[in-house]
Amino acid sequence: MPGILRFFGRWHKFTVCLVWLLAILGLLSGGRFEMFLIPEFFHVLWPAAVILILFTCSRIGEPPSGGIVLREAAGALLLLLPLYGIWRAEGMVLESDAFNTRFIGGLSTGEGDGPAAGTPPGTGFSNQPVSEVPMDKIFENPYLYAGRRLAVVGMLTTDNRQVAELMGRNCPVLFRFAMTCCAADAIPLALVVDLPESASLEENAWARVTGKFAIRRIQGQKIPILEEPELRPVKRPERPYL
Amino acid sequence: MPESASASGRVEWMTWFWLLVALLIVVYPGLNPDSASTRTFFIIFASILLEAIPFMLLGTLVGGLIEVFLTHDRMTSLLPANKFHAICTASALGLIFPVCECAVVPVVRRLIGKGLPAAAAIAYLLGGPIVNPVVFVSTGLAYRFNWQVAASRAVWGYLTAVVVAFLAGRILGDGGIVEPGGPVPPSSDSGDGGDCGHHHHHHHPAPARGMVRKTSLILEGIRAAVRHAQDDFMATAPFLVAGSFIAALAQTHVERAAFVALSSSPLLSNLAMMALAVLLNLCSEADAFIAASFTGYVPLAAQMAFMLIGPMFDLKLLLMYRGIFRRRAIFLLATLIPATVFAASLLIHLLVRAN
Repeated sequence: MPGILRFFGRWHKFTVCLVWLLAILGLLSGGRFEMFLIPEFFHVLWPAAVILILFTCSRIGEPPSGGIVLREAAGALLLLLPLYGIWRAEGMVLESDAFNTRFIGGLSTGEGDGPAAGTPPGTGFSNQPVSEVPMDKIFENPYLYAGRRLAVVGMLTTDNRQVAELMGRNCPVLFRFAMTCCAADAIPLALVVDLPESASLEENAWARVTGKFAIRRIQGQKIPILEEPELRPVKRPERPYL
Repeated sequence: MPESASASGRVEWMTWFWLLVALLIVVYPGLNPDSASTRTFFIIFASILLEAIPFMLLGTLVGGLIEVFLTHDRMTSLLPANKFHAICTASALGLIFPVCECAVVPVVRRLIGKGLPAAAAIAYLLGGPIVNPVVFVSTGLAYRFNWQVAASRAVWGYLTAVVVAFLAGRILGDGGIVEPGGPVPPSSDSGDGGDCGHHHHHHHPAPARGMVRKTSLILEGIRAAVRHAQDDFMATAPFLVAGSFIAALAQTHVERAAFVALSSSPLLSNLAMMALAVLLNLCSEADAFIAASFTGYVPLAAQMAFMLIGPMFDLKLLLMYRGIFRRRAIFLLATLIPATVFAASLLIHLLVRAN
């Protein structure tokens, strides 16, 4: 037992840093970290890996210590456990469960009360051909797209209480998450899909919805809607977050 | 590592707490392994940690370099002798050393060991993550180039940090905020001399003679700084893990729309947005985007309350502060920060209405 304690006392810091280093290198390879963080974090994770290399190397050649106290052992255990969570979360994306928790309703990206200067609502767009527009571009200046027929890719949910209350029926919602730094701060963007309640849709399915974009004012809220919609299932995009 | 009698009680408490969190990390996902909420939890937990760990590593490295290369005398000479002036200066240090709230904790831990007065340390800890150029720009971008909001956040953040640090210093005194002798034991690797307080063994450098000796001393210093940094990482990162776990649970299960429903009065909406910030545990460089998403749903004062309290006090920080401060100091901060931010948000509300 004292031998084991001496072993852990000597190597627990080395082990924790080495395992975290390998985890970060693994996430960096092939851009796996982009399932959790924005691509720019590449420039933050590499220095972190270098610091972990320094930490790991600084323990090599260290004389044996007297053992490990319970606090250090508990701390080391706590530092290793999240790696299981990271491994489990790989490949997962935020779905309707997270959308329903985060969605506060309507146009919720701080775009003001009306069209941006010089962009009258829907001027002359209605006769233009359909174009695919990322959802975040629509929310940057929604009035620019009003009246225009758009194709938008996102996930579908049919189970949002707020939308049901606003629309008076269970309308499907096409949503995406826009990341600022990481998935924890991702903001939900959503377009109501003007389909009848009876339409059978798979929850969290990815779809390309084509429809005429409109902004309706319902119960004092501005609701972005895709009218006369046509749905086509698509594969999950390589980068699910905007 | 030698531990004082008063510290040993804290160690026991921490050990049990960490073991409890470790148990919960294992048990919680196991309760309903394939549910949507468990998937959401894993993504958020991993995201918060991966976002914070690099900055914490950088913070610990800076802390290690401070420990080895900054002497006590130099530290003392950098700040004004007058305590209030020191607080005012420390609150604005983020302008020169921009840090986020995860990186600032290990830096402050070492600065206190170098003689930074505890009240000034609180000022930097609270002001640094708000009063800094990176946060200023991100706030401006989140509010669509409305630099007035960004400037207001910086000014009110500065004032809040000064008020809280001043009051904490007056109520508890420096000795009542941190453990006697500081949050980390003194070390002979520093320029201060003294007994080596660490359980590991350093190669203590011989006195310098000539260029080769000087280079060798610097290299030895860097190695010692890296070891200090690693010690700090091992000491503070478990708090980050525990805080991230609680934050991920809150983000998974707390509905944001419920907080909007409380926006019927400025009093309630300010309090609700403060509570939301404490629960969400967002990084100060990203929280403005979430605050801006509430535009049109809650008043600007409530959004400002969200942006002021988040970088100073949330579930994750509450646990990380335990690595620096005594328990009663944390209780005091947990009272003073929300009270001051709430008062500030009411003033902001009145100013907005007057304009």
